[in-house]
Amino acid sequence: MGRMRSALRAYALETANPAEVLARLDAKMQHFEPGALATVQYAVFDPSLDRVHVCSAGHYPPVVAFPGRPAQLADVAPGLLIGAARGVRRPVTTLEITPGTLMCFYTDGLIERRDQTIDDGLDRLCQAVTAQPPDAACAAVMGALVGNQPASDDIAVLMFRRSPADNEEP
Amino acid sequence: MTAEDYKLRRAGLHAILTMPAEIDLTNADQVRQELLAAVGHDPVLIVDMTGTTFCDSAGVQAVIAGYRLAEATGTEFRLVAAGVLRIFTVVGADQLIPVYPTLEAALAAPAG
Repeated sequence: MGRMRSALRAYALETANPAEVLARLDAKMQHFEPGALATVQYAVFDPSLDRVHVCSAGHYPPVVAFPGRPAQLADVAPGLLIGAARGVRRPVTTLEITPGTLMCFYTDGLIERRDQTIDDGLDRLCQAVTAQPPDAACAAVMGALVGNQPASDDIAVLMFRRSPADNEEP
Repeated sequence: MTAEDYKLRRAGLHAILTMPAEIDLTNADQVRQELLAAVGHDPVLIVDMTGTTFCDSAGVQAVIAGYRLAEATGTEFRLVAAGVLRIFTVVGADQLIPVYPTLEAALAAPAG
């Protein structure tokens, strides 16, 4: 995983196209570490922060919460895992991000439970995510989906929020 | 988890490997080994997840590892996934692996 992250960062400096970054990473991994599989969710923001360009390699889509609206899974086109097949091109999905909007990226360990379907886990996550400051949103999500139960898989959660407009609540 | 959970049987040119009811981190390595061992003996390998009610990301990666070995060794790989189809579509694995709704459909499909 460390080698993969280093390679990803190197390719990220070479091009702003998310699909190209993942294609180069995929080729590198298949050449030097054949048989390895990994998921990646790669996102690039426009400098204006109005839009984000997302490319998925076998990863669950992010959850997006616009202010005052229920959170939902972003409609990101699926792409194949890193290491799954040669010469794969993955689609890039562009999402509009308005002031105050929160995005939540996460790993499978957050939503996969042996006694629930995948959709149940995704629904619970969407219900827990709201457009609020990211630290509070993280606490709410971990409380709702993990609570005081020991986790069987590792969990990573990454949230960010575009600052609200000056005349709105923080 | 015992060997009884992975029944490998043959029907003509097809080998059929039955997957366990639940696949997650705790048994995904075993699933992967069973899949790799089942590849390469018959022209077609059908991986039957009809009775599988839960499969997590580790399980999907085990199935993809089996698919990759099948592809490399000239075995046609077919997946039957009704109840756990959702995770294969969410992570894009259905773009790679031919998926069938029933074992009958997988058996009846023409050679690819």
